[in-house]
Amino acid sequence: MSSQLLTYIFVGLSFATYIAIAIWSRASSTNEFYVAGKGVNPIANGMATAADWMSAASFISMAGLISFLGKDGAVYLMGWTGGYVLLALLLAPYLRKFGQYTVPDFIGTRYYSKTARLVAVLCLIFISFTYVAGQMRGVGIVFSRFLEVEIQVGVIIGMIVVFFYAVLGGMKGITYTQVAQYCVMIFAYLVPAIFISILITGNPIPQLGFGDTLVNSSTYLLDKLDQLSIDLGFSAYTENTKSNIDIFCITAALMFGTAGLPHVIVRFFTVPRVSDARKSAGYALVFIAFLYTTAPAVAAFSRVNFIESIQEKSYLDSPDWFKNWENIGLIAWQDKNDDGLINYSAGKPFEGSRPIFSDEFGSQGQREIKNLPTLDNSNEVYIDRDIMVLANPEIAKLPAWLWL
Amino acid sequence: MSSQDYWKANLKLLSVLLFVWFIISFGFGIIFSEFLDQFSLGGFKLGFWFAQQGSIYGFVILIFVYVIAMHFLEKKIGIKEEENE
Amino acid sequence: MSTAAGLLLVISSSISHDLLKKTFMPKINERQELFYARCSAAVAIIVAGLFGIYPPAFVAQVVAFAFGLAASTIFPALFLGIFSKRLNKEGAIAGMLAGLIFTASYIIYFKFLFSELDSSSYWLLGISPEGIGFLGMIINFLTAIVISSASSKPPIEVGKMVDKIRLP
Repeated sequence: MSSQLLTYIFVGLSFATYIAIAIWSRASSTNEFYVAGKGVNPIANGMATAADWMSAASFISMAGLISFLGKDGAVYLMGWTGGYVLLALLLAPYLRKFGQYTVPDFIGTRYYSKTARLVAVLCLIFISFTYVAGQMRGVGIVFSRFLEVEIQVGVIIGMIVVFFYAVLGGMKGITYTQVAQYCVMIFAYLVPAIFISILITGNPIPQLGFGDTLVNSSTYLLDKLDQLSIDLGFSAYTENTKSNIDIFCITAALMFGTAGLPHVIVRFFTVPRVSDARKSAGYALVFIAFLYTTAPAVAAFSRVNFIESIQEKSYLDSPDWFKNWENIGLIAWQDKNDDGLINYSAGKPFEGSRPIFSDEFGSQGQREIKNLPTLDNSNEVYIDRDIMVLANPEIAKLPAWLWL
Repeated sequence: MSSQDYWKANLKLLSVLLFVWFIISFGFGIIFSEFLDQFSLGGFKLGFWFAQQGSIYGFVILIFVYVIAMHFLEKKIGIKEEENE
Repeated sequence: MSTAAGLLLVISSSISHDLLKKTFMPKINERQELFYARCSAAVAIIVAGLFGIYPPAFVAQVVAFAFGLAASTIFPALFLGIFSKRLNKEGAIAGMLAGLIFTASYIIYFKFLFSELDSSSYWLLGISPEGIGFLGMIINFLTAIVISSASSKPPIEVGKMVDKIRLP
């Protein structure tokens, strides 16, 4: 069976399940539509919150982002988990006790003012629309890449599916589809992560393999990665490049932002009791932590894989993903020293910020670009900023349908 | 125990837990991270481990400590919750 | 996609519940409110889809924007609402607006208007647009507290409500 057919079957089955759940749990009152009738078990709510959290931005892209950023990537790891402590300790139990349906509801009542409610609605719509715009784009890109349709068509498919379970089922439908999605996602993420970990370090637990020695060697993975990065002219993988004040502020903004995101807060309105709101935040963080402690390990593994699979390899023997993304235009290779080998290092490979492809092909079959090569470094590879995000599953050999 | 004592005890608990929250993330993971990097934990530099692994484990533990502590506090004050109020 | 659904739901409930039921059309009954909730969800999906087809900027930039705004507007209003009885409506509204305007203008300035200036030598105190929400939050807190203490106390019922939510 071809992998394309498998992808179709898998996507089809998951959508059928999601839509079936939405129809089964469709809302018949506003209480059910807004807050799932306040009857969601705290563990189920924890899973739903985790699935809600693992958006396109933080799911696959996470590992890709960190493998590019090295230690700086910790701003996302801490920033997107630490906020749950604030939620559990400072907000969730009290807002659940308040017992209304929306975040502006609380602000409007507590500050006894319609104006306050309207300002809160304004902020909420602003926040949610900026967030959702990114999400729909992500959904479109994934569909277009794996169902081989245009991005626009991908977005429309996504819209139809979301329409079914959000409009019919409301919060109730969304909660139970998210529980199903969480189970699929975490399984699909952990299994390949365990395999790469065994492959590279011989340790089946990625969180430990991350700090383990390489197979058949006494060198630690992270020491090797530091060495590789320095050799190529990057700064060491385990050191920061951003200033401490910037790292501090980004982490803080993401943490407090997490605690202020309306779609996360509302999840804690759906449990039966105040104590359940606290527990539920704890379970949510456990489920999120499975992914967020695995992601930096996958990031390190795929960074090693990435460098070792292209550095000084001949273009003809380069991996499939390299050529696939070159075809799409997110990777470019310019053989500056005419040796037919890919030389990857720090520095801009050519003048200008993006490659301008001509229709010609070079001696090795690579796509020729019109940009002038830079002379101050020997880097020959252009990698789009989004590439590690999008190509990471292929580099790390993770299955592609994870994003759905 | 009055409801005012309950709130005071809660605030005290919150300040302790949030202090730990700050230290393991902003402290060990960012401000003192470079200093901690001279120690190692297996193949990890300690500061790096806190930034990319340890702080997250700490967050999970903190929430459950709070859940358990509040459970006992609520027992002491004799609160029984009702569903779906 | 799971995230998109959750986001669309909070948008639709704040429109049908907060804008319609609680502000502009208080007379609608529950069935009508549910109907409007579904309609606004449908409209929100279409708008979100248009954003997806004609994206305003890079995905990552847009998401950082959302977090900064949430930190500088919603979080302080909720936190102060629970932990302070003194904070009044003037303080809360001024705080949210100050946080929103400060954070949004900083991000728009560096990410959309003058993206060529987006480097540490031009940033305020060396803070990048991704992290500015933290400063926005501090501004929100300060504004809210100062304005509150300069204006009248909130009504007694508010104090009672706060006491009630503090007990489980």
